[in-house]
Amino acid sequence: MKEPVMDIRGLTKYYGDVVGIEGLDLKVYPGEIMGFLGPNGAGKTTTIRVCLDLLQKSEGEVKIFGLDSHEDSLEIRRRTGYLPGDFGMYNDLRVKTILKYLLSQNGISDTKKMEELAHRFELDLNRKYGELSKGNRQKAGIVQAFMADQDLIILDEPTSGLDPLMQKKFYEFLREERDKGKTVFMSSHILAEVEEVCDRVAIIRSGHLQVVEDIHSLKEKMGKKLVVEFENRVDTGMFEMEGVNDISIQGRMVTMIVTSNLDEVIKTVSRQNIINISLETFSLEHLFLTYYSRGGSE
Amino acid sequence: MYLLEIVGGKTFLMELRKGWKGFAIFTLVVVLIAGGMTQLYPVVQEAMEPDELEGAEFVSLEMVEEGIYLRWVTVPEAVEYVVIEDSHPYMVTSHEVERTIQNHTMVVHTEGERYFAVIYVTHEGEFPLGMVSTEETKDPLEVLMETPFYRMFTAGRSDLTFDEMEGFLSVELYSWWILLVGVYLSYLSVKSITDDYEDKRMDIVFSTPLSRERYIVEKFSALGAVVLVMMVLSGIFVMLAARTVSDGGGTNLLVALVISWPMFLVIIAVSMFLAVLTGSSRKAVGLSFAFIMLNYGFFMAGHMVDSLSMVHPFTICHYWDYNSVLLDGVVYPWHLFLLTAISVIILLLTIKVFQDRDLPA
Repeated sequence: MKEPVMDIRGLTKYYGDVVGIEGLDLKVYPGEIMGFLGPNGAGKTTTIRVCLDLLQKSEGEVKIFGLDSHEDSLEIRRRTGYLPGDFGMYNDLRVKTILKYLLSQNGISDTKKMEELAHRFELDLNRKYGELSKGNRQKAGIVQAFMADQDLIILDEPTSGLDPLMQKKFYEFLREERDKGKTVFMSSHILAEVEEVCDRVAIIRSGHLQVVEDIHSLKEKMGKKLVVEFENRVDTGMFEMEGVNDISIQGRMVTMIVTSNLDEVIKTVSRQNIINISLETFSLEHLFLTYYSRGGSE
Repeated sequence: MYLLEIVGGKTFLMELRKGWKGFAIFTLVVVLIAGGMTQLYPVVQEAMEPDELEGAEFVSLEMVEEGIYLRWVTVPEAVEYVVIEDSHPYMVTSHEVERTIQNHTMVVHTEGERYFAVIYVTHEGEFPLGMVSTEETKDPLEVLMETPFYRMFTAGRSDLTFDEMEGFLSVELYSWWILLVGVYLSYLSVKSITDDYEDKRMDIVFSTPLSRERYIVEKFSALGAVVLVMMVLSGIFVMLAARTVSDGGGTNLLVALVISWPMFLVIIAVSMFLAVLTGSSRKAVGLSFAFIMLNYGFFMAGHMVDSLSMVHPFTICHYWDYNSVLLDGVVYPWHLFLLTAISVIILLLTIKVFQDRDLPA
């Protein structure tokens, strides 16, 4: 087993009496893109900012590259690119000047990668930051996060403000970076985005981690939705078996969630005359909503 | 070595780069005011020369046992003379005391300062002849210094005189230098921190391996460097301007301004501390303005009212002793050391508070 790049144990952050995050355990391994999913106010940004020592933790431990997030925060930031969720730069200065300044803080004077990224994301480096549109400001942030070519990239809602074409371009770029061995920890509330680019997902709700799972395994665990329209009304009792949940009937239409035992279920169904049948894999969106509507008890 | 690292630091240079227009305008304004004020010296000096009363050469006054004996030159076309009297040379509340065809009169002697004006009357009308007073004409500066309000601008020195450039600049420029430079400087110092909060730059800035200590120290140093340049330029301008209008203009004019630098370092440190503590431009600017005003107010009041004289040693202005440089040619190094030490202590406190705080998102 590889050593995790990020190892978060029992992380807790209180804002006075308010819980930001509580008892959070999470590991991010090298070379993966980990999605960090949750609605607004769930604690995604708090988690990221504590990891980067921008916020003081109340309890728990965060190790990044095996280093303590508070004691060794300078070394961690030297090796980590970060795109904040809501950020500004110097409005009166040209983007190139700002990015060169930020790059120089990492001890790097070579601007080649910065220029390559700007070209790739169609960002004009010679414009003043204050003159840029929301989307172009986000591109400046993305370039900033990746230009120092660091091993770990932490992104907080990275595609906010980007148009769909640019989002696609960004996902493609993320996969390339992952293939080069980079580790990406990315918060988002855009489910399709997480589904498209992430290898694993962690879902957080009200400051508590609900689940950490490989996306495909998670979908498997969530089961499939089977909808069957029979020729005649049937007794739902025949479907009551292990791995079948949430059976409902509406006229001659039966709906159920199948998490295992699919073979037995299909055989049972086929004993009746069928007019129509569909078997759907749950989207991440459904999964996400399920976690929230059930209070994450699944 | 550490100092060189700080001065060459990226945040130090960025602070100068992003703020250079504001710094340049601020410096220009301060330098022009300092130089311009110096250029006013001849005009003010002339105004401060004791004024002869108008037409005093035509009227004479003599205090005699019977009263006050007034005598004036005879005007051939005069048909009558009117003598009016007031307690003030402007004669706006004067009243007539005598109407005569003689060129002399005796008026009753009363207590207090009295001014008399003689008007001659002809067929064409009434014309002023001249004025005379029971008091000798005073040096206007001396009159001003007799009022407690003006005395506070002397910073406790009773040997000031406008006969010399140093005395003039002490009252008219150096006495309010802390306000001229300090108020805007404290605003800039607060904004150097809170702009990063309020423009949401903190996360970007601290996504780099920049320590919070370096961030504070480099910003402080950048502002300190700007003020040092401003003090040196202002001092040079004052010195050169003084040389163009008087025989004075020694290096003490420059030195007196340059040694105000440690006092401004305290102001920068206090303003940055308040910015870090409150995280709000509005609160920090208000509090730092109050800090400057209270310091200035207590320093001034301490020289104006005897019962408050014990408070001015507790103000930072007290330790920028420009008068000892201007008038005595003496610099007290321990004053400079004390102010520098205070600024370093406040700076360390600022770093500690900043390190222990959450950065706002």
